[in-house]
Amino acid sequence: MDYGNNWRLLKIQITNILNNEYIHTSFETCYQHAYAIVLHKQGEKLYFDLEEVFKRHLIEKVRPSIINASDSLNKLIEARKEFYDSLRLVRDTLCYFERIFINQRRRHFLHIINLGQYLFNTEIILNSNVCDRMKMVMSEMIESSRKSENWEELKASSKILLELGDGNRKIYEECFEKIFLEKSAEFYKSKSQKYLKNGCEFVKKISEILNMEEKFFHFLDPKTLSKLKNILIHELITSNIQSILNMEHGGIVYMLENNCTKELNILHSLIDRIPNGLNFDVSSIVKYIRVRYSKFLHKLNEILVSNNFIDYVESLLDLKNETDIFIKKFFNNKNQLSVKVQQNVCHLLKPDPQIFSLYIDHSLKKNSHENDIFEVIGKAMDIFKLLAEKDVFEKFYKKHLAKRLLFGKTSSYENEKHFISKLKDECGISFTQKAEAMLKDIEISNDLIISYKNKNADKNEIDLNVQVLTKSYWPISDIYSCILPTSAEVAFNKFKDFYFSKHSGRTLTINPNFGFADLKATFYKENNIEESKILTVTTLQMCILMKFNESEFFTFEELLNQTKINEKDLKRALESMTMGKESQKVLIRTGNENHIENADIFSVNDNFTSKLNRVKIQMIPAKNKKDKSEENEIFSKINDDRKHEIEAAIIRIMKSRQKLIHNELITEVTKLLQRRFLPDPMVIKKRIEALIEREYLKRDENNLNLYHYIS
Amino acid sequence: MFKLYADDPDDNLPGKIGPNGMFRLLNDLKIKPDDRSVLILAWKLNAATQCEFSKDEWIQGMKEIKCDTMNELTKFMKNSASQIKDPESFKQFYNFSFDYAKPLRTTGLDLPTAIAYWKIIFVKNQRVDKWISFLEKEENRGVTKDEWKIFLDFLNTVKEDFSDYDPEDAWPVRIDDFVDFCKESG
Repeated sequence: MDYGNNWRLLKIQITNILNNEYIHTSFETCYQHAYAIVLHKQGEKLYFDLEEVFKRHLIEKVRPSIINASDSLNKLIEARKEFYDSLRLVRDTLCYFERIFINQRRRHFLHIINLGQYLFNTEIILNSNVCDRMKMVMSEMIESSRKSENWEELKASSKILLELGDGNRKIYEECFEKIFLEKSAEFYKSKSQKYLKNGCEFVKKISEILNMEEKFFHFLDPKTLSKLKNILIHELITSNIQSILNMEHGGIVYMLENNCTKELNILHSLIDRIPNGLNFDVSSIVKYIRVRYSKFLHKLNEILVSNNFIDYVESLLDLKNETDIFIKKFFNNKNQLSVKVQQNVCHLLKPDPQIFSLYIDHSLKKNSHENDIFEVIGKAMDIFKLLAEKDVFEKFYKKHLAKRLLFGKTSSYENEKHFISKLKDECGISFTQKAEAMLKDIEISNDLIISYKNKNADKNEIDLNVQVLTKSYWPISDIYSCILPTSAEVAFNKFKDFYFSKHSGRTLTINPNFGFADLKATFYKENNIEESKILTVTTLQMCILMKFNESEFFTFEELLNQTKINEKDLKRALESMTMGKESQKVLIRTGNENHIENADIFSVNDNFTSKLNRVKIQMIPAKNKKDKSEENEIFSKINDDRKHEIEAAIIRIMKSRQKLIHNELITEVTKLLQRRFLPDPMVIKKRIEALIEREYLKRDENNLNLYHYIS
Repeated sequence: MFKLYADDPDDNLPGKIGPNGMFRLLNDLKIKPDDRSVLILAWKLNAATQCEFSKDEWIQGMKEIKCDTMNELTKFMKNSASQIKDPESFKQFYNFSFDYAKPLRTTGLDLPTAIAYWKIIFVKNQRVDKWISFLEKEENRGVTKDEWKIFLDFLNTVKEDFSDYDPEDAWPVRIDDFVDFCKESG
């Protein structure tokens, strides 16, 4: 057998098939040739020769035809169809070869059709020249489609490219996607530059473009579409957002000032689409708000310094009103942006808890408001909700409440209860428990006194009113005792007996820092005229004055020893009666210094006179120092309470989580406590250390940042 | 050997080597009382109280360090530094020192004692010296066990220039203050 001859004939046949030319040789003849070759064990040679023919055809004929075609992509598809059709014919021609030779060696040789497809893939589809040609074609197509705004051709072509890869996206990406995305990015960039002069126009145009592009390219492969969307957002929005927000012409400030609600909404929806867009948006809005209301804020700060609490609260309410209107107009949705803006505005307003407590105190006192107190309280609650440090307010409120109740300064118990119920609604019972208990104490005391008086109607010489306070509820500290005048002591003891008949297992202690007495004082004038007055004095003043029934003169030291009144209070009381206004000087003192010394001698001022029958002897209004020290005391108590609250929070969280890393513990504690106050992370850290020392927590052996709960 | 130094009449600690006995022992070993090897010996003996060795502690300890004679003990003391060469042993030695130095009924160590011990343990260490000068400047507050332990971790893990130090981590506040102090003083 002559292989060469056999092959030559076959080669002509195959070539004719591939070229789509007329086939001269018959099927049978070819079959015999192939048979002969296989029989003489030249199958392998045939295989490689066949492969060579295919290759030649593809490289020399098919490839150039595609590259030189104007519509290369479609040409490629066409060529492929032709080639594949030819493959079938070739296979049929060599069917003996395929059946006998290839089949038995499937591990090493491909079936003819598979061989052809493989070669087409490598020599055509993956060929770099073809690829380059495709890139050029697609590039032109993209540009012309952009101009004509007709995407049909692109749609078809991109689908073809995707399908060509047969699962492999590489061709598609190289020849189409990459170019497409690049050109689109350029297009968007130029568009955004065009409109970047005016913010309002920009947002409108840009959102139009966005919508159009998304509609146009709906047909795209989803991965490509999402990449395109990212580019859209980046080029149109992200790159430009700062300029838009800060822009003078039609920027966000312009929009807000001129009520461009539509443009604002578009702007917000655009910003919504970029990552962290919310923060951009919020921060420029808050900046704007700060500027817009800067006058208010400035005024507020001035008032704060002046301590004028009424003006402060009213200005705060005005500002809140204004900002509420503003927010309602532009940020009324429940969306994230509105929520964040509202939160930030609350921070901005930041009411001072102490001043606010003074306002509340003032409102609940007698003779303060003719207006509807309920309305006042309602508005005040709006401010209360904005407080960041509610625990500071709580302490001061309780202190003021105690003073109002004990000095009879409250406007009415109804009003107090109303305010407490509002607090309860907002904060829960822990906030208001003690306050309610204080009110209850007063009410119970009132009833107690009535029944006491009924029982002892005639026996009383002294008309006694008692308020019994349960110690743990009242913010009263440091009860210094003193020696009461006998008559007072007797009256008090009578009451004590009455009280113990009703309640057992309790102790009653008089608190001389509170309480008033009416004393009948007789001043002996010249010419034996007696002038009597009724003096309303504090308990301490009473103790002092009653001494002058025993003797005419007392030194300070003697008074100190005999009344056992605490030195500071004694001095204050004496000052109020000797160094104040003439109308208050019921005592005389020897001594020239402007403070009381041990050797000063006191006696009754018989020259004392007054137009009134009933004279109230004031305690000297506390000097600023005393006020500050009381205030400091309250703040130090607040700090102590906060330490306890932080520790309790740490323990609670660690108990439920058992182990937690440092940063998360700080976050959790802050979250737990933030309704009452904002804990400082350093303080939390210190408390953690204290708890480690007390063996509630321990550090992990290997990780310093990890804590374990010790049960 | 134990009998030589125990039951010293000036000590009034029957059955134990007390401070006076210690003094004589150290004299014979030709070592100063604030030398680090003394502390290392105490660690190896697992001594419970400063300046005291009980009979059990002594016998167990001598077995641990394989010393039967004065000569062997002297050699041990000379080479004591090798006992704490590897980081794990050093850590144990360091943590032991806190409990050893701390008086029985308290939870913390008073500042002067802590400083003295730090000086003994870290023979020549710039950072420790800086730490000590920082402590001497701030308020006279005791040192907790946590602070003591963490200080060693601090020395071992944080860079000299504190570039990798994060005050928001779980370092004790005292160490945060120390880092601020170092940064301020340049």
